[in-house]
Amino acid sequence: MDSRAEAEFTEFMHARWPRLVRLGYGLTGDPGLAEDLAQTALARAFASWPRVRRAGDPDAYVRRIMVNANISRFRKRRVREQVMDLPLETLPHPVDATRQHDDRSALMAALTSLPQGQRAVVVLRYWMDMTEAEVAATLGCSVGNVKSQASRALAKLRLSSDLAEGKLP
Amino acid sequence: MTIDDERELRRRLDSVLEAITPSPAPVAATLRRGGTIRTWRRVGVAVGLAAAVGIALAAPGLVHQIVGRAPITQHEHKWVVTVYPPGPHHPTGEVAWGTINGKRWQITVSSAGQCVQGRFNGQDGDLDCGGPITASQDRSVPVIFTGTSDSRVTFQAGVVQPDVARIVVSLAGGRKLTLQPYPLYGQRWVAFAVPAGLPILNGTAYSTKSELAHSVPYGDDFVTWLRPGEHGRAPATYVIGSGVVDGVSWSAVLHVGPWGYCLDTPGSTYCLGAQSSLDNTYRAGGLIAGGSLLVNGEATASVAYVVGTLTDGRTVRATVVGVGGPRFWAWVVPSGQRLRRVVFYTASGRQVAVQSGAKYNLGI
Repeated sequence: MDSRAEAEFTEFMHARWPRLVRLGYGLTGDPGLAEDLAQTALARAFASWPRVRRAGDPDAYVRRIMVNANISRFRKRRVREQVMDLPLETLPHPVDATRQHDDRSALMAALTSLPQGQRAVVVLRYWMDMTEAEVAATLGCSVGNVKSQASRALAKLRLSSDLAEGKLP
Repeated sequence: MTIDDERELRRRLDSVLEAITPSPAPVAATLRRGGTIRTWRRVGVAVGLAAAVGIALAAPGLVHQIVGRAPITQHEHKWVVTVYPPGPHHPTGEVAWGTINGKRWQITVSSAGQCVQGRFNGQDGDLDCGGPITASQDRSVPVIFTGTSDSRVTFQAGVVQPDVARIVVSLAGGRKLTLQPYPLYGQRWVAFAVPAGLPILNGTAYSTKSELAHSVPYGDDFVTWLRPGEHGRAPATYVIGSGVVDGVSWSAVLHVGPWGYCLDTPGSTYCLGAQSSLDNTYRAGGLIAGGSLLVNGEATASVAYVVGTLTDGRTVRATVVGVGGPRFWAWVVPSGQRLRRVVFYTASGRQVAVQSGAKYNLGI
């Protein structure tokens, strides 16, 4: 790989890292796994950088790798994850820590109760603001499938006891 | 029920995910991981660089020697490997399947033809995605394989030229895999999987009437396809550079052979096809323990040495090594330093080409 491409990749990684880790957190509910997932995807992007760059949308490439790597991880583990309390150092404002901690735990508990595909649709569609077509391309499925997954996910979230009114401040 | 509509969900996701404060981006570790992921996409032609200026301070020159033929890995196990085209009820995107000692493997490609994924014994291999996988624009190259490997299996897939009727891959132990192109998404695909560690000896592409080309891979990598009757270069190994930096030894070793030119450096391998036109070039070759960066490249016929200027004003210098036509060089950029520029000189000290290193930043 030539040095310009490597410098370009480094710049890309610095710029995208925070958002990719947040995407990873949305997909996994675990800060450590989130960083590992982001790094895995970026390492694969680096290994294929000339082709990724030529394709013109490295963000889409990395997102696709992250989502698929996470689904593969789940297939291998076949263990239901439980959301644990998050480390306090990830909380940005000590004043709001209690409220945000509760809010985050509740939402992440509800999210991680969803099947992997539905969780990915929720994060990509409602946090990353991707269109249904973009989500479909990322997940390698049809737009119709994205719509039905989103609909089922929203239905489950509406009924989630973790998000019940009384549990939130 | 607290999520009444999509807007509420967006607000909550924002509030939760934007509050995450990631650790600093682990750029050096990611580059190391990326460098060790095996891929088989050939660049083919090195990137050309531009013209003149600069004066060098000396650093240790790099000496080369022919140290022998490229090593050949011995296979210890008895492997039974098969490959078949997709059957009538095959999974979406499958382009080939088969078995390795009775355990099933399959290779699928995504509908856009951008991702290849292998699966062995019920477990997915790494997903290999990027730009569209297509046949080479050079019609004399029958196929460009792309793929991945892990500790168990090497998966390779590619799109063949219209005149390719089959590709035969010969493995150590006398086994031959006949790859029949399979039409999918408007292209004709071939794919195969072999156990990691089982040497691939060669590949031959045939039309319906005759041999089109043959290739001796470097490891698993079909870098160069030769015309029928062509033998390519005899295998030889050259040390392009070696030394010790911050107490850590390093080397850049070039394996020349019918596959072309493959430079092994710490953490990475870079290959050029035998027909590649070489210019004055530099690239990152991998990170050495301690954070130093190995930089290497090619040079044109008149270049005798290459000098890099670092951000602290020091320079590094490498003697260019001729390997019977092409010329290669390598040096090390110490940890914490960046390249300001790279200058290519003739033996008499005339500058032939200069490349800015201003943007060169590994984030380490």
